[in-house]
Amino acid sequence: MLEIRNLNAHYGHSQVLYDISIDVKAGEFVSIIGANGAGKSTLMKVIMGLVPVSSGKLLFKGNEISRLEPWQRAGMKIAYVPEGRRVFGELTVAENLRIGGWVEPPQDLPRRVEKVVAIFPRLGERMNQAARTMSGGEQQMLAIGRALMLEPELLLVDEISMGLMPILVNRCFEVLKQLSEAGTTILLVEQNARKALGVSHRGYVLETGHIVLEGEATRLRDDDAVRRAYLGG
Amino acid sequence: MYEQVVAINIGLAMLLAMSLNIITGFAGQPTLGHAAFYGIGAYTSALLTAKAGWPFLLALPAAGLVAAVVGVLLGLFSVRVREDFLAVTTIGINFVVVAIFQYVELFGASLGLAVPKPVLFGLRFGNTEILILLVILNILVYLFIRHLPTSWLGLALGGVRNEEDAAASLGVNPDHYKVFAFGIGTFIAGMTGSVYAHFMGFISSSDFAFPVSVGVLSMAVLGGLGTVSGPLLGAVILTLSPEVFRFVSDYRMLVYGGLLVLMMRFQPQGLIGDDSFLRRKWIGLFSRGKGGE
Repeated sequence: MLEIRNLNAHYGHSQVLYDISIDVKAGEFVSIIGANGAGKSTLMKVIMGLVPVSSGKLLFKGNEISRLEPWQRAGMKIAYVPEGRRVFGELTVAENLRIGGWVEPPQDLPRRVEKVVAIFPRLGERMNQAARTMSGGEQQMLAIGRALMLEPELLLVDEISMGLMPILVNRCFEVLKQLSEAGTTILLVEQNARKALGVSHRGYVLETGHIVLEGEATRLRDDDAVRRAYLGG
Repeated sequence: MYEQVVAINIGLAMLLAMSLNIITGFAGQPTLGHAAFYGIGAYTSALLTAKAGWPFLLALPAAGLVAAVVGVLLGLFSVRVREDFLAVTTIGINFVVVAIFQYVELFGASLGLAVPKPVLFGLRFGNTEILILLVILNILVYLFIRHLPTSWLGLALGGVRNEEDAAASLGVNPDHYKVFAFGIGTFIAGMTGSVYAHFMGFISSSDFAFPVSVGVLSMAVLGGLGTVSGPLLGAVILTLSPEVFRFVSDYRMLVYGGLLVLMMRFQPQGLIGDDSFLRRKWIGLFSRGKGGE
């Protein structure tokens, strides 16, 4: 579904991603793990179109998308849960969700909202509350729910565990696993390697802008280098 | 009549503050040169009626359109630059526009332009008619703005203002809505300029200079950027205060500047924005009344 071939990207003048090649097949759940500053978030922004591709290929369902604007990629049903949630703070939960379904026909919105509320009942209770008045966990649910309004074919998730209480981290991973089981293709970048590899099919290890390792999630979990660097021995 | 003139000034200020609020409040695009569009509207209307013989009723929307064309160009530029750059650029536009009015012969140069009083169906406009027109325009613009936050346009602007990248990644083209906001805001400012020109009967470049822009921004900030009625309150307060307090008219720029600094520091949401001290007082009164029952 997503093919990245020999991709390079810069942030201003400094190169952040080097010769990245990643494949995500339809229905797969793929995690990219790596330390802070490895370029994980930049990679997500490149896929979403928020950071330009310097060279290389970015194919979605066989089509080159690297020249498309972010909103055009949303129209192709690529959804993005940004790092740090980035909910629309002054807007209500309902309004956040409405923007999530922006490219969809308006008459279809109530059904989509219902679906999101079925996954996160908490959002249903807070429909008319401004997003910034909610807790970090609720905001993370909203960020995921907002992306799900697209009914995405490919869901990009940037650091789902950041700044959340462990119980909420578990809940968020559980939701991703359920979405994956329901057929959504997911690409997750995550610092919490243990949790990420626990729910995904395959993984990549990103180090200072290079992919240094890839493989089945179970195999990566058993890899000595990965254990030492990312799983705490 | 003195009261009528004050009311007309308030009506003009309210329109300007509301139009700036669309661009700076709802779309989140800083503009420090709003008076340029006010001026473009005024000069357009003056030239069309005085030199081309257009009726006022046509010159009024034409003034809005010409201002909006320049506003859309500025909007297209604004999507390419960062916000601080945009603020500086809009100041520059204000000075350039004023300089053009001041030096180009067509615009009367330093002598300014005489503007005929509007005539509508044989009725020659006096201050009363101007005031009625302003009330109508204010009601129309207010209804538009009151509807804005719950409209698709308002929703898109809210998303873009809060988290532009997130909005873009969800399918909202931020450029599209920003340019739209610039177009509407400058259209209203241009129409307001037309009314001003025909009310005054004479315009010169200094009527639309940078301090006027600062004044309009102060009104919107005082009442509350991004609120529906805040800018109206700000317009009333800042238009009336020089009439009531002599020192305000003597030290106008000092008052505007000080007000901007104080509001940004202590009440960035404005007098009637979320959780402002006025609103807290109001809610406090309300809940105490309830507790006493």
